[in-house]
Amino acid sequence: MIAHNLVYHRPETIGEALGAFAGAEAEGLKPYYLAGGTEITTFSRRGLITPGALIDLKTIPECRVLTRREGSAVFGAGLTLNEVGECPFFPLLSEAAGIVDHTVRNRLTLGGNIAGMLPYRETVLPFLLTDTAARLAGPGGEREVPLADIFSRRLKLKPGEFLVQLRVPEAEAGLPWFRRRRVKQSRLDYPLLTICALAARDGIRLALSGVFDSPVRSPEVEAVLNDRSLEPARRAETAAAAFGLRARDDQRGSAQYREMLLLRGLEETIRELGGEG
Amino acid sequence: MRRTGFRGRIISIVNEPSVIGKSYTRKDGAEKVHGRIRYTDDLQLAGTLHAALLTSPHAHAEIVSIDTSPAASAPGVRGVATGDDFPYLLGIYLGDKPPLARGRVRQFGEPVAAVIADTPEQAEAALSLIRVEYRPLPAVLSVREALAPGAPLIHEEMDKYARIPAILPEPGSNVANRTRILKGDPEGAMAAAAVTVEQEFSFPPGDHVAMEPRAARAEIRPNGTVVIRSSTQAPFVVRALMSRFFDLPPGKIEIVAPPVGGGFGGKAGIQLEGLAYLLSRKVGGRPVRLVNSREQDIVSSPGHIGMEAKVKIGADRDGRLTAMDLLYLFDSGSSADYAVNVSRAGAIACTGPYRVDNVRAESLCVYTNHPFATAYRGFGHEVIFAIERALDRLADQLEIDPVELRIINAIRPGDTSPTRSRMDPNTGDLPGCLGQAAEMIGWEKGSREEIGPGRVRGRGISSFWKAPAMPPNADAGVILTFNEDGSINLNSGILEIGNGTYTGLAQIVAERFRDDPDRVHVNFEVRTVHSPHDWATAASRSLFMAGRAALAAADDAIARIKKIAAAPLRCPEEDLDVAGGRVFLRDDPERGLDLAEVVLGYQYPDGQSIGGQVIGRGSYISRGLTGLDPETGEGHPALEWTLGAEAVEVEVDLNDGTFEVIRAVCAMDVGRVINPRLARGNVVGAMEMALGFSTTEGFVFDDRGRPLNYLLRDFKIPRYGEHPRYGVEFLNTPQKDGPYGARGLGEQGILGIPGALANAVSRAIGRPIDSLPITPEKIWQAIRGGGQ
Ligand SMILES: Cc1cc2nc3c(=O)[nH]c(=O)nc-3n(C[C@H](O)[C@H](O)[C@H](O)COP(=O)(O)OP(=O)(O)OC[C@H]3O[C@@H](n4cnc5c(N)ncnc54)[C@H](O)[C@@H]3O)c2cc1C
Repeated sequence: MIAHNLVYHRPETIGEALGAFAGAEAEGLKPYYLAGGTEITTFSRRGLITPGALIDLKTIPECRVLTRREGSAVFGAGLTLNEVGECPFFPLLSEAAGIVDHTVRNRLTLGGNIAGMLPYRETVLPFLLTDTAARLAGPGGEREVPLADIFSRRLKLKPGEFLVQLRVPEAEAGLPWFRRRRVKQSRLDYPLLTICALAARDGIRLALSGVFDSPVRSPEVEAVLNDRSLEPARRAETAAAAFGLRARDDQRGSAQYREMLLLRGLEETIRELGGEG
Repeated sequence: MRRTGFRGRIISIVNEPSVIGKSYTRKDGAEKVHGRIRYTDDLQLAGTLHAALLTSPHAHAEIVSIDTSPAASAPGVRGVATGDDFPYLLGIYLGDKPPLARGRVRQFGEPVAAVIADTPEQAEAALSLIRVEYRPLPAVLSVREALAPGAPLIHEEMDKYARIPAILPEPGSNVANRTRILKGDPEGAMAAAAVTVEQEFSFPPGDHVAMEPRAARAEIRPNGTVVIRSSTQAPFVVRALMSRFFDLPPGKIEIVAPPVGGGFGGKAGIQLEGLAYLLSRKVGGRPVRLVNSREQDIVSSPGHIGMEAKVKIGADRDGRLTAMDLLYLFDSGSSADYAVNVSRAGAIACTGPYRVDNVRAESLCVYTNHPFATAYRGFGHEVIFAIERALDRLADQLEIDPVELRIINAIRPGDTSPTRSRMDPNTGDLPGCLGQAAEMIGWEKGSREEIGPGRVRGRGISSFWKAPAMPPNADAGVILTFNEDGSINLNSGILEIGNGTYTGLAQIVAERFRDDPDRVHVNFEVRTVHSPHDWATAASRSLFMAGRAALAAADDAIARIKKIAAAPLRCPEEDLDVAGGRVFLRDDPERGLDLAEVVLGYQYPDGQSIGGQVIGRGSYISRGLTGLDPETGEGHPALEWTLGAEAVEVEVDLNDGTFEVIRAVCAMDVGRVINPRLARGNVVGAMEMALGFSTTEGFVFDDRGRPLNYLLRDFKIPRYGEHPRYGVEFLNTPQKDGPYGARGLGEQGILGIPGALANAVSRAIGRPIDSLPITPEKIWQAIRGGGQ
């Protein structure tokens, strides 16, 4: 139960959403953008957040776009993870969207997963591997920026800004891919390790979640992964070290176990995508 | 519509296949699949106030002060209560639990204060205004710690607690109950054994995670009657305990018990009812609604018990078990609740279903600062996990096939149980079950099979047994009344807790009437004021005991029907038979009456009437049960034992320990299957529940005893789509005193799975796995550490 009152807005346009957000702020109600609401409701129940106004993004047409145009695949932030998962435009993304189960995925949204508060953000991984452009809307108007420029551990939005769409070059969306996911036990659980990788002309690109505190893609790691002067096993080892981060140690798994999973995941990525015999 | 062909075919009725053994659709099915069954909290009552509970953030702490005044003056608040308002100690067997913590909290999540307000939101909002100052105390984090010399005492006043005689607490320690078994000469036999194995086993406490969180609504009527609507498996236990704790005449307590959205033992005993009553009293008797949030249901209300065990087994060269020396330490958590009887049940079944002539066992129920424990499907028979793991070791040492070892030692009629009670001729065919389970799992392919690089399959087997753990005077009753069309209404004190028992009871009555079970209407809502007394819907004894009562009630009604019909049919009662909705002359079936003409009294054509309505009455009380000798455990506590075997096949990735349960099978001797589909549903559901607690569940604690995973985000239970292939077969050694030869099967499917799974994984990886839950990381650690 959410014990406090709040105002619910259901805007039809980007402008209305921004207006509602600004209006709520002016009234001193702490506004939150609402997508599937799974974090908003569960975090509110536990008193971790106390939204005073919710602005639902799911009815804004731009947030619901799923299309291919001008050489790009475009994904609206309000798509459910089932809608993303069932779409063939970006096979690695469809795979990455396959978290939890069908029923829950009917609620989870792409935008909520990437912009949300939980640290896993597994659907951001495929985007981090491509030249993705993020379309944002905020008090200053709309802008499109490279995702890489605004994603570092989490999505860095300006106050009042929200994610409208993500645009991926089709050429990259079609690259050969590899994904490996490991969990404590139930596959409906958060990951101990999720690796998403693409085989581009210039080599393997790899991003991961679950092992460290936030999703990462690292140029240093990729340089090692693609260094053919090293034996594959050695490459994996050196690449794992090149993250320079400490593995999480929590109720789901020890740091030691995560490190082992990481090493094996890197070996497997090299085997699958590295063009090694 | 299903055609049953019962009506109007009197002549051939005797040859009709019986309704016993057929998969009639469960009577609660439509209500449930449409989502329209009404559980406790689905009925709103105007004028009801809402309660919310503030709970402890510490596992063990002194309550220094509580300031409730800002909450008391918050909007909509009608009352605020703390432990000092309610100087009572509650508990089904051992009165150790204040309704709200008094002076000290003994676990994370323990209710400390309550707010009663006009709306749930107001109650919740006011909670945040209550200020509690705690002084943390050292927390007892395991049963071993609790038993160590100098351990903090969790209940210092244990000597003052009220208790039933069967429970033997040890004041001055953390032992809430100790049950001893001593049979034969365990020391001598162990010393003489050709082979011995000794090992320790454990699993953490957890939760049932029933879909319906516990709920209670209490009010005190102007005439003094206390009415409580509650999600309970045991309304009569609640009534009796409420009467005892609060000094109320039992007739002035009315417990209303709608169908339960999953019991699993968690709603046996007394739950929220006592506190709900006290809160209503606090606000002048107005109805007060107290409903657990999911998190409170997991952590503030009691859950699955944890256990640590040490098992030593001696055997001769041929694999015959000669001695067992057993120590079971059950983790009761902060209160005794049902746990003190769970540990006792573990003692009664301590050896598993094997003939062992020399046994020493100690089964302790130990307080810790963990969330407290209650009944959980299986009820202490989790000791089987420890026994079955140890037996697999023994099989390896003796180089005997694990199935063979179990068959050699399987308990048979004439053998004695650990409490030295003789297994009677009704004892099920355990060797047959073991053979059947082995065949179903593909045992002939071996217990370990390499299927690819780094991938192996493992197979494991386990026997199981269980008898109801209940008071020696546990009873059941059934009342049958009739409708104008001759159809029957069945009333009992059994709760629909998910098992579908009422469908079985309807079939039993229909069988006696040789009529269609659709003509037996059942009443799902139990009310202590008019339902016949029943001990509790627990211990897998409902179909057995209420089934016996139903048979008696049917016979009573049939006798009455014959007596009434004898006059208009002008014949002796003995010449009459009842079938197909008619009463008729056995030797001339055309001469008879429709039951509709008899059951509400027979009326002659001229208007004169005789007989009055037929009411069938039946009752049953368990037969020949006794308590246990405190020194040796000798006694006869078991109404009937259900025996069986289960086997599991897993596939393990040796590189990182990831595994999948491919198949799980069960062969159980249930005596007689009343409804195959329902029976299978119960068994498969139990197997799934076992796989849940064996692989994904169980609390994880921080170093101060606080559970980290009491949110469903973190406490993973099995979901649809995650299960293996299941196989279930039933054997049919009749339980001659059971209804149509049936015995209990509601819990038993849970019992062999933990052992079979651990055996399968251990065989696959070639290293022992002796604790639950079994996770990939645990397997990986075992593989890695195995070289030492
Ligand atoms: C049972 C379960 C299992 C899960 N398992 C996983 C898992 O294995 N891996 C994983 O990665 N995640 C997992 N999650 C987390 C889940 O993916 C995210 O929490 C979810 O995607 C949030 O989406 P939502 O639409 O419900 O977000 P909401 O609750 O609506 O919003 C979440 C947050 O994001 C903000 N927000 C939403 N949309 C936008 C937008 N377009 N622009 C800016 N801000 C926005 C909101 O303001 C809010 O702060 C799981 C969740 C559940 C319930």
